[in-house]
Amino acid sequence: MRRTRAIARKEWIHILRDKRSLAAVLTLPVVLVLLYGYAVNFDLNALSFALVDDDHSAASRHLAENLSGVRPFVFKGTLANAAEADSVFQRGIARVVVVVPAGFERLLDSGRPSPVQVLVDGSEGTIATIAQTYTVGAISTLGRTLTKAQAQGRGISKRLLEPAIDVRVRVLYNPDLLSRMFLVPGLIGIILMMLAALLTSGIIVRERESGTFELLAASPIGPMELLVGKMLPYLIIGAADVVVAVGMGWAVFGVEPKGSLLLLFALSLVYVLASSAIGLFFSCVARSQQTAMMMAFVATVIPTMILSGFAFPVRNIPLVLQGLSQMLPATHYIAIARGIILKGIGLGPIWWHGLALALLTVFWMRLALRKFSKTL
Amino acid sequence: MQAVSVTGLSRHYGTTRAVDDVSFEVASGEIFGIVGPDGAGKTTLMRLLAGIVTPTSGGAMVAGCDVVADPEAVKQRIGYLSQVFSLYRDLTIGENIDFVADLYSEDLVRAGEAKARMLAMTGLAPFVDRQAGRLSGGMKQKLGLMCALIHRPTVLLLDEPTTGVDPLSRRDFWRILADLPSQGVTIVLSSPYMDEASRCHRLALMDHGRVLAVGSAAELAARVSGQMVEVVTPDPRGALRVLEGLPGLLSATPFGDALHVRLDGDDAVARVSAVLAGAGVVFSEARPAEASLEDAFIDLVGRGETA
Repeated sequence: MRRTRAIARKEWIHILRDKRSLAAVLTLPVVLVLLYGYAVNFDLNALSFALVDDDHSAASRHLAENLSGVRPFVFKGTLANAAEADSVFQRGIARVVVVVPAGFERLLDSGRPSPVQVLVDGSEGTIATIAQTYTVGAISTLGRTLTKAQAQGRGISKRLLEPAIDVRVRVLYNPDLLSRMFLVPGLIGIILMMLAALLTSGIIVRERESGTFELLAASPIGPMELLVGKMLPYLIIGAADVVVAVGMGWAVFGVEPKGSLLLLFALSLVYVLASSAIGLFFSCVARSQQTAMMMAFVATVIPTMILSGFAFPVRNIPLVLQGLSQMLPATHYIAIARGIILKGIGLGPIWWHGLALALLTVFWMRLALRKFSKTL
Repeated sequence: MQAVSVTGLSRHYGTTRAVDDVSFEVASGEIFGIVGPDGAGKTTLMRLLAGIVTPTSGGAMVAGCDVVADPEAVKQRIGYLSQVFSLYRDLTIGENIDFVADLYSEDLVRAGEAKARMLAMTGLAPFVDRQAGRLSGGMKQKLGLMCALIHRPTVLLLDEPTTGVDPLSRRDFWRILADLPSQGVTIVLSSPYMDEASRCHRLALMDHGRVLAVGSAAELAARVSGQMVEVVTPDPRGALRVLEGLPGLLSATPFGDALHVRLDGDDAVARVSAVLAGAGVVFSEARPAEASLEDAFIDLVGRGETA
């Protein structure tokens, strides 16, 4: 106990006396939340479109004008023919081209369905899907108002035109379907993991590099006492980073935790511990700080971005990789963070994620202890 | 009782035999020196004794404990000062000492007393709040020594403790060491300096991983083969050139402003004088001399190479 405390106190002095690193560690979450929060955005704020009007009728003009008036559509101009769509997409002028064929107004007036072609730039998959949904939705709505207007003109009751089933959608937890609501909890997870793993990746190998490991090796301190003592101060730093990261998400992006702050904080600490244990393992294995940091980065940040459910749902990942994703602390933490922050749930539905984090901590600590050696 | 007992100790790194089949014993309360040039294997040997390098073969008992079977027990009983400064540069003198006392779970009251006493003795008391990285080489080594002694070890291992230390600090350092045997502390230290070796009770001469000889400085010097002649000359380089052709020459080395010549056979002084005079080299004196530790080392290394 006394040795563990001595190591922790010494490590704490190192942290406090290295003012620049301390400042970096505390401002990094601020910078990262801002950077990722603004840069990673799946929302479509402006949907540029062009029109190919082969009908040159009042109806086709009406369609274009109405579409321009709907948010987030931005009218970019009229093309001579559909073949020009290619060059418009290639130059990135518009994401969508709406083609109104000749005879559009005539079909409309005759009360028959009138086709409209929508060309979508599919080179950016996610955006293309959203653009397609928006365009089809907007044109369909327009179509319905036109039909109603015609019906009125012919004296047909509007009620007959109402759909038999009226679907009314209400989205829970993220009513405006803003991608930042979905991203910020994941972002907090990635940032905490990155900081914890990278910070602890240095703690043993740094002593080897500076020669001070010889003092520790020749002393009677036990491996467990040393590793635990070294990790404790970084847990405090991690706790501070939890507060900063969650606070930033709240203050800047309005992502207010709906659930218990205490539960979120407690489970975040377990998560920081698990991430630190991974860094610690690489600190015991590597022979230079750079190598340790590189290894920790490759082992945590890279798979976490892809496999943790940060951007893509874990269920969409091939089964083999899903096993790997369960080995990543971030997978469990992101589920916890989304649950508590967005849905406001308690421990009930997420307790096993917390348990998984604890088990991962034990797993990596044991691995680190096995690799640790008190020889030079 | 033997404080240190080394038997057939070896440590190889690939094909390099850093320490090669080394055996010697150190009695309790002795100051024992391991002397040899850079790369002789001194540091590896010290680390083996400290239990922080695992031997390839052989073993050693240090302070009554086996370095192979129970290195942690050895660590509790020894004080170890590494060649590389291994204290924390961003911690003050006081913080470093307190940290090491905690590492060894030394009684707080006793550690406090020892700290105050040693700070006074080493003259570091005024600098107790200075960070270790801002200390001079000599002060760093004194701090290292204090930290190695804070838990009252029975065996003190010092790896080149005075290398890179100014002469004044070196004298202070030795003054502290000289008092320790009377308190029951056995000291094993390594050094590349022959003059320092003469302060040790007994020595092991080491080269290329092997211990060439063990004994007191006088014993080792007495084992030098051949006769020693000291030539005092204003032209040592000229004399050296002439003497290289002398039959039976074992070694000829500059020694201060004189030349130490070691010859096989009798009438060494006469033969040296004759050949120098014959070649017209000016010299003021050629007289029989006592072999020094350096001569002993050169003799032993020479024999080791021919063997």
